[in-house]
Amino acid sequence: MTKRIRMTAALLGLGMLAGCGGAAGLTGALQGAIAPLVGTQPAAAPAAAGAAGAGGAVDPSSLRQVSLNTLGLTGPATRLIDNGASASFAGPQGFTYTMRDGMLVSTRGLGDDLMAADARQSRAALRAGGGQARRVHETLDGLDRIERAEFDCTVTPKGVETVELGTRRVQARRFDEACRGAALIFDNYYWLDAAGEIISSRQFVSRGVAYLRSSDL
Amino acid sequence: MTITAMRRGGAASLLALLAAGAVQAQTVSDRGLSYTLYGTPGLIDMPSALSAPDGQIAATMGRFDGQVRTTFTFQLLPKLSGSFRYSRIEDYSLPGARGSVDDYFDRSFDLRYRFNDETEILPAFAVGLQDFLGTGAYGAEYLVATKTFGDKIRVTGGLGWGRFGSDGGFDNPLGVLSSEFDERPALEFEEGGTFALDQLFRGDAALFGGVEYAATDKLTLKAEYSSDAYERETELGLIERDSPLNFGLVYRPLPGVQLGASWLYGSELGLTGTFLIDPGRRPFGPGLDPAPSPIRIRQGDARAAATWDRAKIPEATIGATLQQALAAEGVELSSIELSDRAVRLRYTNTRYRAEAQAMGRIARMLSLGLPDSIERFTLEPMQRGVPLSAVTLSRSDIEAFADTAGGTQALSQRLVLQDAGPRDGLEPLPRVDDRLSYGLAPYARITVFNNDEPFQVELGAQLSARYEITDSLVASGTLRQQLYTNREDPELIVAEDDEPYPVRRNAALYADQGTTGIRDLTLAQYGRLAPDVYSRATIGYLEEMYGGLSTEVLWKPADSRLGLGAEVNYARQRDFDLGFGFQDYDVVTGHASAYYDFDNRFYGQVDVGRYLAGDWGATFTLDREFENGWSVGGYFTLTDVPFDAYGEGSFDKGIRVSIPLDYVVGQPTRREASTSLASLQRDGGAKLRVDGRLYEVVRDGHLNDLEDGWGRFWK
Repeated sequence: MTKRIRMTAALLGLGMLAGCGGAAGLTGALQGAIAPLVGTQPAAAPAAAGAAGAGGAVDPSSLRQVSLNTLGLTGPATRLIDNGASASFAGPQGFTYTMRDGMLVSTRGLGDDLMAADARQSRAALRAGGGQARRVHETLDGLDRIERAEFDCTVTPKGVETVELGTRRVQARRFDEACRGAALIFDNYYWLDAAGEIISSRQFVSRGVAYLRSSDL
Repeated sequence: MTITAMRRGGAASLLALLAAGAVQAQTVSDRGLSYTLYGTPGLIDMPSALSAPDGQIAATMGRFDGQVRTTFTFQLLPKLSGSFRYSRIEDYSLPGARGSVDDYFDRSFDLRYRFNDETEILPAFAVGLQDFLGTGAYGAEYLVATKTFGDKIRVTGGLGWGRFGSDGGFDNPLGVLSSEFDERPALEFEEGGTFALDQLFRGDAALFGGVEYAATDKLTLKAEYSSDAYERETELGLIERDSPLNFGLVYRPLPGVQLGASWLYGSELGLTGTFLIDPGRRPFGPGLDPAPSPIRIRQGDARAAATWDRAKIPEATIGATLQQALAAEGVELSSIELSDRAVRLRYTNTRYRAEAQAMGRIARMLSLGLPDSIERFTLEPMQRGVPLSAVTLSRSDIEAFADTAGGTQALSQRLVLQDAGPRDGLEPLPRVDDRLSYGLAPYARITVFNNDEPFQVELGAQLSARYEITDSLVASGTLRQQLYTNREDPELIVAEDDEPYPVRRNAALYADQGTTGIRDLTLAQYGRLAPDVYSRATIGYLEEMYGGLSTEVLWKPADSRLGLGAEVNYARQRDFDLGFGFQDYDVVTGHASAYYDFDNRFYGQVDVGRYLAGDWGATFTLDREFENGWSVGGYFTLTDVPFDAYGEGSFDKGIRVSIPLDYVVGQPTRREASTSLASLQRDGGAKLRVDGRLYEVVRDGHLNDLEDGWGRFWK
């Protein structure tokens, strides 16, 4: 813990970032510290700085509203990095998650994390307006082995609904994805805008964490 | 705050895991398993043919009418289990002994092997040896079969010898093989602890059996017919055996806890409590590690860059920034080599049990911070200033496999593991972390099952300090202040007749006289003599009882299963007051050692050499290690000290358990708790205890330990 504080303090000294503590602060801090060196600075730095209340305009596209009901975590998430096809966000108390084209592919810092996922078929089914998909989730077991679980899923269109994104209310097409694996069943919900982008979703993480809800602002 | 929330998550996942385990992991055989008074899977006093889930440890305390049996049963392999038992029998003495002693204390070992899994038609069959390595007071052998009918009923029947052939016995059916089986020779107790081979399956045999009924998921009722006559106990008037029938019930209030009560032999009430622990089932699941930094994926043709502009980003800036960033992950970066396309790092991971997890976190930061042209990451983990290996990863693989199903395995197949490279080319970085570390902590020394002192405890506070003169030259020491002990005043033990010099037996005197003292105070130098050869020299007050000089070399290639080492020490016995003084006794002691990783989760070690009392011999050790750092094993030492000169137990042997602390707390840490059980420390086959022996230091960075921890790379 002291090291963590020292690290944050050291970076503060460098004037890279006003830290907000926890891993989110650190990862933001790291990028703040390292990215200028290499001359590539994605949206992370302004977002992190904004989260720390350092002032300046914040790009709303880099923010999400996130909640994990089982763990009682709700609040804003800031984008740590935009890798084009995927992006990683830091939520309350420093946990992080990564979305690939709107589909949740990993979480960290939640204990029973989703280590990795292959949800490409589900994404394709959403784009196609519904259909069958197979998805793969990986978690870590008590012996440090990766456990692979496969799920057969059905994506069904549920019509147009009004969703609240921060202070906005927008019309979106809702899809439900019902998945069934050897020992587990879960239901994911997605809301897509006119362009087919996922603007809000509730997606399964793992047995211990249950669902992660993430929405654009 | 963070931790509270995460712990809640951990608890939730724990419940889910347990619930899942109840459905998935259990087969017909291990469902509704319960334990006997002997702490083995079975009926009430009689065994069954069942096995616990692989790797499970069951601690059972069973008592009835003046007998207390404390047993640890470990499922060594899916079909093989071993038990260690410490028991107290009031007013008991062994057959042949005159009269009775006050309380009789005894240690015993069992083994049970199950031949087959139970099927629709076929019961499970098993053979068992009880107390085959102790004094034989509980000595019995059995063949047993168990069959489960539906969800509720289980029937067991068996044939017993020894104790289990003492009531309703008939001529040994093995007599057809040889008349030698007809008679069971009288027990020759002597010092105990040897393998009573001439007793096994000899003498009368008898039938036993019983039924279990699972009334609910939490409650099982049992009835058995016991073939144990409790001959000696009845003779001494300790037990009234009015009937061979026993009745009992087992209640499971929580997963992992079993409470039992029984009515035994028509006259006695028996009680049992069993606690189960599964090394593979971590209380906090995968662990509550804080999130790592994200991966940066180079876009477009950025990864084709052949070089970077050093005027804009000087190498020194990269080194210093990385060092600072990695410190946040508990990684101390010592040196760095940068080229247009590659980077090589030497670092010490002080936080993560699995070196692989530290590597994952370093790779993430490198992907974030390094110029795009750098494609190859070579990571050289160090411990105690010595580089252990070199793992080379491609940055493109890191980018491609992060958050990708199958990515953990794919990366492990594509990494290159080699010996650590040369020092040349590495740019040393000035140390930024503290060279001095110190701490004040409580300590407890608990000695259990020691002769007729079942529980001795010593509590106190210790101040420990450590100063790293260089990465590989370290001064360290521990000062102890004892605050409480329930030990009685010990007497000085001197060697009698042909007994070895009391090199360990006066341990209690150190606790008694050294209430304020130096536990250890040493200067240790580690080195790497050749790519696969490591060295250590430690001088000073090496351990509580000895000071001197300890030197060691180890040959262990990073990808080899075999390691070979040699250790030579000069040791002199310390004064009992734990001050700076020494006694007259000194010895040159040392071993040649071979270490082998059998690749099926078993690790073997053989040490041949001269022990503290000047005796010559060998120590054999076998440990079963779990991927998550748990280890359970046993050892024995045979030296030229004769069994009767050695004393009780005949020779040194024991069981050892090591539990990684991150298993318990859920947070990343490299600390672990180790303990040895069942070792009755005497003077034959005693070894010098030196901190930081090379094999344990080096192996973390080598092939098998890396593979074991690889699942944590992306955690």
